[in-house]
Amino acid sequence: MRVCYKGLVLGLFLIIGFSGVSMEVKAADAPPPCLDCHRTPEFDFGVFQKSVHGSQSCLDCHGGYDTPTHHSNPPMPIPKDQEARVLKYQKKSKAPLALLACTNCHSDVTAALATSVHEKWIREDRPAAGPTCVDCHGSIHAVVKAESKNLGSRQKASSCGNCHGSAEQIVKTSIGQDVVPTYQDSIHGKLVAVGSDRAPVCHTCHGNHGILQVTDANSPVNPENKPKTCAKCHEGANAAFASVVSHRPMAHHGSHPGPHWTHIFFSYLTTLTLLGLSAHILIDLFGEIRTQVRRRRGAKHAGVPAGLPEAVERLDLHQRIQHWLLISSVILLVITGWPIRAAAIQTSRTMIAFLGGAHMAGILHRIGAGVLIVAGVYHIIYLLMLARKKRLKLLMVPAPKDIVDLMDNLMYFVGIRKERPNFGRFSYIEKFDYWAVFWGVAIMVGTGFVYWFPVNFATWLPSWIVNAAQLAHGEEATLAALALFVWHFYNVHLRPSIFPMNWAWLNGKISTEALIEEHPLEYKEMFPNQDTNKNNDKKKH
Amino acid sequence: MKNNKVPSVIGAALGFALFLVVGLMPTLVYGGYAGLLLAGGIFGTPVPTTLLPRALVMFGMGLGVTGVAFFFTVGRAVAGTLAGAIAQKVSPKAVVAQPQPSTNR
Repeated sequence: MRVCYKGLVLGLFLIIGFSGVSMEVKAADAPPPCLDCHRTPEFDFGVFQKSVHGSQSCLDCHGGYDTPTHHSNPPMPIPKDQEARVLKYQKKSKAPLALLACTNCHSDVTAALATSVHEKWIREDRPAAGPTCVDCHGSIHAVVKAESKNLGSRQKASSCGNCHGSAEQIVKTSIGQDVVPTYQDSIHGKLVAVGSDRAPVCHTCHGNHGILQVTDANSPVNPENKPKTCAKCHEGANAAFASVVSHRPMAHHGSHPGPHWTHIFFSYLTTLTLLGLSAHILIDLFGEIRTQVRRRRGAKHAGVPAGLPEAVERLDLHQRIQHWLLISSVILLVITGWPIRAAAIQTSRTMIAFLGGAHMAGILHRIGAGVLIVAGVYHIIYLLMLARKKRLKLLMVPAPKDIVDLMDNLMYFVGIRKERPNFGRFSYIEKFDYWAVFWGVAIMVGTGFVYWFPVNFATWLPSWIVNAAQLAHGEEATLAALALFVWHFYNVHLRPSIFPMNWAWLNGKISTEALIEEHPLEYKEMFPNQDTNKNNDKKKH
Repeated sequence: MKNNKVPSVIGAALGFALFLVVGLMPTLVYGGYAGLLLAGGIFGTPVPTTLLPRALVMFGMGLGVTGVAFFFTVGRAVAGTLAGAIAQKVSPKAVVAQPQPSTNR
C-alpha cells in the first residue's frame, strides 16, 4: 500500500510536471497560458503555429520571465552593450528586448546585418531608426520561409518599398525618391508585379542582410561591381549593359538626349495618329449611316452588269497566308505583351496567370515574334518573286492622288461631295494599313530584338540605344494595338456596309458589287467593256 | 458573296455582351493607363492635372474600350459567321434552296 501511495504521488508529479513543460516551453495545439493576459488583436495563434517560429515557446524570445508569475520577478536586465540598440528598438517595437533574441538562433544573419548600412542606421544617431527584422520580414509571429509561395517576389519587393517608397522616410533619410517607381517601371519590376518568381527583386542585386551603400566598394551595385552582379543573370554583361539597369526614369540616360526624344517622338506619333484615325472613323461612320439612310429611301446600288462573275480574286493564297500569320502573331503579341507593359494593373496579373505565368508569357511572346518575322520574310520573298516574274506593279506606293482622295472621301462622307472618289486597286486606307504594318513590324522586331538580347546590343551599340529601344517598343505597341483593333477592324469588319467582314482574308475574293463600289478604277481595268447599272441609269437621265 | 447576317449579328452581340461582363472595366483602366503614358511623353511627368492631359487620358480610355470591344465583337462575329456558313453547307435544306451553280470563277 505504501509502495502504491509513492507510485501515485510520482505519477501525479510526472503528469503535472510534463503538462507544465508542454504549456510553458513548447507551443502546443492549445494557446500557451501567456495569451491569457497577453492576447492582442495582431496576434493570431493559428498563423503563429503555421509560421517558421510555430514550434518556439514565448519564452524563447521574450526571455527573462518566470511564467506564470513573472510579475513577481524583475524582467531580464538589458546587456550594457545593447542598451543603445534597445532604445532605438523601443521607437519601433512594443517588445524591444525580444528583437535581441533573433541572434540566439540566427547568429549568421545578425552577424551579416552588423556590417550593413541598415545596422548603421540602427546603431548611429541618424534622422530615422534603421530597419529591424520585423520591418522586412513582417511580424515575427507570422513569418514564413522565404521560399514559401506565401511570400512571393511581389511581397519581397514591397517590403523594401515600405521604407524606400515612403514619402516620410524619403524626406527623413534623403534616399532617392525615384528608387521604387523606377524599379516598378523597369522590366524587372514589371515581371515581378505580374507574378514572376524569376525576375530579380531588390535583394537579388543589392544583397540582403549585409546590404551596403552603393558608394561602398564592396557593394554588389557599386559601379565597379555592377557588371559582375548583372552577369549573374545576364551572361556576358559589361559596364555598358550595367548602365542601362539603373534607378532612373527610362527616358533619362545620363546626359544623352536620345531616349528622351524617342519618348517624346513616339508619344506625339501615337497620339496624333490615333486622333487622326479616330476622326476618320467617326466621319466615315457618319457617311455610312447617311448612305444607308439614302439607300433605304430608294437610292440605287451600283449594279453588277449581266454576265460578270459574282466575285473576283483580291488576295492570292500567298497573301492570305501572310495575313493569317500576321493576325495570329499580332494578337498573340498584344495579349502576352500588353499585360507586362501595364503590369501595375491588377488585371494584368490575372491575365498573365491565365497564360501560364510570366515565364510562359515570355515564351509565347517570343513565339509570336518569331511568327511575325516569318510573315515579314515571307512577304519580302513574295515581292522579290513577283519582281522576278515581272508581275510586281508597286500599286501600294503612295501617290499625290491619295491625298486628294482622302480629302474628297471626307467631303463625300460629310455631304459636301456627291460622289465618292474613284479608287484604284488600293485606296489610301489600304495603303495606310500596308505601310503602317511595314513601319510597325520594322520597329517592333528591331526593338524587340534589343529587349530579347540586351547584353549583345549594349555591347555593340551605345547603351542609350537600349533604353530608347525599350521605350519605342512599348509606345509603338500601343499604337499598333489600337490602330489594329480600332482602325483596321472598323474598316474591314464593322463598317455597316461591310459587316461582318471583308471575306478576302479567308477566300481571297471580293464581290464584283463591292469592287464596283470600292475600287471602280480597278473594275474598269478588269472589265474595260463593261459599265455599271448605276452609270446606265445616269446616262438615261 | 452573299451571306445570311443573322449568325454574325448573334455572334457580335454575344461578343459585345462578353466584353461588357469581363472587358469593360479593365479596358477603361488599360486605356487610361495608355493615355497617361502618352500624356507623360507630351506634357512631362508628373502629368499635370490640366484640361489637355485629362482629355488625353479620357481619349485613351475611349480608344481602349473601343478597341477591345471591337476585338471581342469581331472575334465572335467571325465565329458566328463561320458557324452559320458551315451550318448552311451541311444542311440538306441549303442544298435544295441553292440549286444554281456557283458563278465564282
